[in-house]
Amino acid sequence: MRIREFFLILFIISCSSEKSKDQIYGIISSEPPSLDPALATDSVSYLILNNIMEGLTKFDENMNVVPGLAERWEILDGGRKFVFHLREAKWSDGKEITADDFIYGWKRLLNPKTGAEYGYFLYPVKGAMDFNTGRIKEIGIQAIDKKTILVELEEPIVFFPAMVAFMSTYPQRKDLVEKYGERWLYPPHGAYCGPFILKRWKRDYSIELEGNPFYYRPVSKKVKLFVVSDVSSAISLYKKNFIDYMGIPSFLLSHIKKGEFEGEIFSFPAFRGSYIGFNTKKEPFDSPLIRKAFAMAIDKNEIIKVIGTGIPANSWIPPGMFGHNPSIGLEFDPEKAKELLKESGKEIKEISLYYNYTPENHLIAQNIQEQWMRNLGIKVKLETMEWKAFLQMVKLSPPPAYRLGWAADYPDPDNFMTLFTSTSGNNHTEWKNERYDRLIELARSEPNLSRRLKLYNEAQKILVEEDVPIIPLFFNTNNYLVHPCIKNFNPGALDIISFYSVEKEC
Amino acid sequence: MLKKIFAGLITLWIVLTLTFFILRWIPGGPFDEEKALPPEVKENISTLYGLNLPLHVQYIKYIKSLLKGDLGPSLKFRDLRVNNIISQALPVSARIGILAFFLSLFLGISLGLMEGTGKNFSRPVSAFFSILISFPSFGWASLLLFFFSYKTGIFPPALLETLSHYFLPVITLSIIPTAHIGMLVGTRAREEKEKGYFTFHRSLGFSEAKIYGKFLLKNVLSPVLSSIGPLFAYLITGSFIVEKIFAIPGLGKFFVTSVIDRDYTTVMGLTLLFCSILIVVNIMTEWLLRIIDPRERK
Repeated sequence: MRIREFFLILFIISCSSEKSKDQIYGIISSEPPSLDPALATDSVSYLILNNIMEGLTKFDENMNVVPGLAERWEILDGGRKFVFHLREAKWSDGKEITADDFIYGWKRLLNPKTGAEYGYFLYPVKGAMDFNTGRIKEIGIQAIDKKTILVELEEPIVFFPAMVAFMSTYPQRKDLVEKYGERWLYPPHGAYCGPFILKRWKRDYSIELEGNPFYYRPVSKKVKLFVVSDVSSAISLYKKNFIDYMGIPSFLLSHIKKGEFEGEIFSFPAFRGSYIGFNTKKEPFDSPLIRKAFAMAIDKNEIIKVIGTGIPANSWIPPGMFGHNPSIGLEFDPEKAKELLKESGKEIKEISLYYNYTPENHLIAQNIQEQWMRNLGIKVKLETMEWKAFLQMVKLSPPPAYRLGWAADYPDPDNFMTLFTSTSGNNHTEWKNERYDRLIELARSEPNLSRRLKLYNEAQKILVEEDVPIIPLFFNTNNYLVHPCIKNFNPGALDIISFYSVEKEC
Repeated sequence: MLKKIFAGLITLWIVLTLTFFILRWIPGGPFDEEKALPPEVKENISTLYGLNLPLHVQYIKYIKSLLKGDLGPSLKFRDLRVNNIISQALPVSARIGILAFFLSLFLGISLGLMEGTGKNFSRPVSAFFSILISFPSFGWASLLLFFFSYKTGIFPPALLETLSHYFLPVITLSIIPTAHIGMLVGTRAREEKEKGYFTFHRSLGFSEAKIYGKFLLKNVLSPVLSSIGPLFAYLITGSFIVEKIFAIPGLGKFFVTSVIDRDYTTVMGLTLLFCSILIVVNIMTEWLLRIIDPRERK
């Protein structure tokens, strides 16, 4: 009898999960390692911080730069100086947001003692790198008055306003940091300048957000996010209406599509690309002819079919970003590929392709293996590695061919194109091209859009048509299951959901 | 007893030292990500955490802070110290683990006795154990999740909101230990039954219940006791699979993720914790055994 009662109670409890209309329930795939803008580096932290904080600028749904805490800005000296005018806005504890909050935040990010991984993000600011190494005490940011900030850069950068939307550049409160250290934003003492406040944070379990009444255009909404890393559990939670939306890894998409979630699956193009990198100093890929042959022997549409989603890529600047040009790049042409291989005069029997093991990477690599065998008659050995070991190898001694990806921090082509300049710490191809470097440098400071586009077109041609140190494979999409009650759900190309605009209608 | 404690401490020190150096030998570091850090930034971080000091200096520094009870800062969760991680996650894992521990003890012993002594139950119970044990725990987790939550909705699929949320993770965690204990108890009970004292006690006029409850149980339990020490240590520190699948904020996850993240200090802290629990539990079971079974008091 007692046991039966016990189960009855359990049953009632489990059924009584009432959900309210003004609260959005969602999941994050991992616990944010830190919610201090100076220390945060990952996308989950960015998602939370982007909702509780705000930078000088922000992005609209189409990734255009729009005013954030700065209501307007002026570009001086050909993009070498910027003046940001702050709007009348307050922190969630009622204190005014001032220029000093930004200056303090930037200096804290760059302070060598902070040990901020994203410290380099502000290196374009005058003196920032020397400040970060402790050589000098001042950087090129100053308060003209309480509401006006002057930023001086090392070199002109036309897209600087897009950079100051990023989490590392958010303002910080000196009084709170001094009192609470890297936990200055944590409830209950935290003060926030974004549309939400961090109401509750159960570590590794849930995060609750609530509308910030002091925000300049306040909303009254609540958001509760659970940390759920397992996709099958997340799907069960979604199906049982515990959560309103969830992200789905692309390799699972094809399994889900057939099922019961018709009309609830959404894919959003992302500013994230996958590529095969060559070590251009190692046999056999030290010859551009061979690199071209391998590039033309991959039909990218096939990869998309295998992994279930994505946009095939021949060029490197992703769609939706300024400079995207689908007409650039080597098309799939197995006949031409064979000719090029013959022309190179080299006999290749077998090559190795390195990647870190994930279900998706494995599918990609297997498909490429098959295509190179089919189209070039070359055997491909697949070498999988654990992520960090793979990273170290790619960095210290890049293998002949490897798979990597790249994601943008802000929506400007410079983010993608600087990657392969000779001084980039992320260019593992050993490829150096002065002309390419020069074009990227010019494009960085070119205010005229059509001239800037031309520069990027030319640079992209060098990268993916002439020298081919990389083969772009595809641009990722971010995929979500979204309940029909949820409207205006758009994580944008940076995959950062802004709950400010998300509406729940039932 | 003192000897045992001393031996435990030595073991702990050896494990700690080996872990420390093996960790640094694995390729890739805590701050290697897809976006490589410029050398200037890396230098700052290394200085902050003392990662650029010679390895033996780092080792000595670590031991020194360890002696003060400080496991150091986590390199992944930069606002937390390893002590914080353990103190916030261990209680959650322990709660579920202890429930699973007692459940598997109860089920294992009672089913095991049924198998070993009951005539009609023997076969089905033993088949049941084989089924339980022939499936990995993530398989059980998925099965339970599918039938009890996804299909029928009897129990919530994940998270820890109410009492009912404990049901699936506790069951999942108990399945394999139940079978292990049950099989052990079953075998021992069968052996005991064949021994002479059964008939002897019966002839003395002891009731069946008393023979089973007092003599048999006691003799069966001592081997169980010596094997449940490690089980207890394993259950209270949490399980990666159960915590991942049921979204439980426990410690088990960290045993895997901290290695993937190369969070050196956290790996060290967890290794130490697990090792110490194991040593303490082993010393305690030995002590308990001696109380129960006079033969062990040599």
